[in-house]
Amino acid sequence: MSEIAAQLHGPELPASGVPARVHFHGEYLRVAGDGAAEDVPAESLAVDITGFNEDMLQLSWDRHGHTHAVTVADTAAVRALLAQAPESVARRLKRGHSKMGYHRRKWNAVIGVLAGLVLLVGVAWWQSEAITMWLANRVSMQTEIGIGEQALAQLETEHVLTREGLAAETIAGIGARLTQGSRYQYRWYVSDDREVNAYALPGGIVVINAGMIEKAGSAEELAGVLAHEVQHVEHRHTLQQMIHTAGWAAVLAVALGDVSAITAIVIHQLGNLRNSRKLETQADVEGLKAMAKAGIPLQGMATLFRTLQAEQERRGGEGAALLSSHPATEERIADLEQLAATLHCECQPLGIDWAAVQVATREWRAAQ
Amino acid sequence: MTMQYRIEGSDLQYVEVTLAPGESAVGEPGAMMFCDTGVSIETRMGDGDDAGLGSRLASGFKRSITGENFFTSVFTNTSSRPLRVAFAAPSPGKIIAVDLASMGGALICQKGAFLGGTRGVKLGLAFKKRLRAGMFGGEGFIMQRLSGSGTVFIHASGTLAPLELRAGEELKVDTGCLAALQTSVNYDVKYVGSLKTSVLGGEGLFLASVKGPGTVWLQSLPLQRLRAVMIGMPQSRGLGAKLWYFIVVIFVIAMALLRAGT
Repeated sequence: MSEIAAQLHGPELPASGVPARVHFHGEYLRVAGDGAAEDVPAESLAVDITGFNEDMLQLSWDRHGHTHAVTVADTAAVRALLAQAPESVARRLKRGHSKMGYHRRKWNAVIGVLAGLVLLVGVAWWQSEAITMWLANRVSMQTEIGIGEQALAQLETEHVLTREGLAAETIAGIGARLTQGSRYQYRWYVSDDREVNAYALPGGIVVINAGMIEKAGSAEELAGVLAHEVQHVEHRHTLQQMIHTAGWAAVLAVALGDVSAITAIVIHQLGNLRNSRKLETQADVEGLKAMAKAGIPLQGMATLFRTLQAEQERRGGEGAALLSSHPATEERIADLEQLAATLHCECQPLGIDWAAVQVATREWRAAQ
Repeated sequence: MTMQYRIEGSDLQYVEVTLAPGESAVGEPGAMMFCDTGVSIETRMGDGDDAGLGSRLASGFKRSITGENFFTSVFTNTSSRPLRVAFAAPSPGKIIAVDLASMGGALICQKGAFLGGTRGVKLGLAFKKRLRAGMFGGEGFIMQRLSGSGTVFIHASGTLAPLELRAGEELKVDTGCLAALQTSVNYDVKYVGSLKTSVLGGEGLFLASVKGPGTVWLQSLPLQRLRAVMIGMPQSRGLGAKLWYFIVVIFVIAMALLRAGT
């Protein structure tokens, strides 16, 4: 039988106890320390846990009305003691041992949960883009359309929108080519806003300002804008951006299943939403690909940006509203041109009398 | 070989250690009060032992977490006769010497309690694995664990009372008053027990509770409480100072008037 290191406490001993060695033999616990040894009947032993962190086992017994005790410090020693304990005390010992284990496990669980939370926040921060994308893809098409409708209603309080007339029909025609096979039902609007800008609202609503039509040099240039905006819809960029800006509020609302709350937040934000550079690049690239697929000449997007940028420089920084959300950096234009050159395209000019469209738009706007 | 020492003073104490030739003691940087010429002073990272750089770095970090210095000063008697080195307590209170071997090889103290001791004593972390004790026990989650076989000097503000607890004997202690305890002592916190006592009794919502077997050292005046008392003292210098100021002002004005008159 191996002896186990312990600390012996008793009335005649110093309060801090003295080192002792213990082991079970038969029905007795042999306690040897300080030159003397004694045998304690196993069935008279009381088992408790003690120690700074409930990490010690205490075996105590009464003699002449005084409590004597041994404390065993580490788990290995406790296990060794358990292995040699007689039947009469084994159950109590086991209970004490599992109580020590319980405290240890409970604390490990607390640490584990805390570490898990920290890890979760870390991953959420690190993978925030992927998470927003995932969340955006969780939003049902119906909700998305609902958000789009509300945003449209908001827009209609400020501007006159139309789906009729030459401009809107021409745009719808180009748009139909760009959105072939899409899961969205697109609607194309022309707004009487003179700002050179275009928006894509969630759910497939594309609004082109009259100012944009007047500024675009050709139908191909406008097709470039449409192709770009369509990609914002297709890849749910607006939703992603909404989730990103609404942040925790949106996450909470989604978790609570309250979609109307996010819609409210989102619609409020819609005017200020700016897609990140990354999303813009994606829209550029995918837009060009869609144009190539539709057989629309690819240069339009780049030439339009060039025109707008040149104008902005001429005016000393004040330029088209489109540029504030779509910065036309040299890099971006160069990337667009480079990609356009590499894409295979059996492109045919659209063959649209653009000047007529512009005249029609101007007349319609003047009538409002 | 046990360390030779003498603790001097009543409330503002220092401990004077007599080092045998070749013997070393460690102390917190800044704690040294005086030492004989012939005692070499060396500052080392960590516990002042000869462990590898990595483990010295690790023990340095442990030390800083438990309220001690990253470094340790090692005092070695390089002469052939006994020499003295003294460590002073950083605040009003008591220094006690504890022989770690008699404590079962380890002792748990509140943060910053370690003052000095035998070279080779390890200073580690005793992390209190109980949320309520860590949060409301007054000592925080982290305490010091001094282990090894030598003598350690620990310091706490106020008077340090050693209390001996028999197996299963329990003591309620005001939070923050626990200065040191043996590893076999169980430490927890308990709710005071009644709303009236906790609101009006001045002891707070919780009391620390220690259960034997083993020895605990309690301090009569935790540093936080001393600080609170000092900060709460009235700042003005009393009526006398104000009166004196007033007399000076009158005098100056009177002189100015006299000058103007002539």
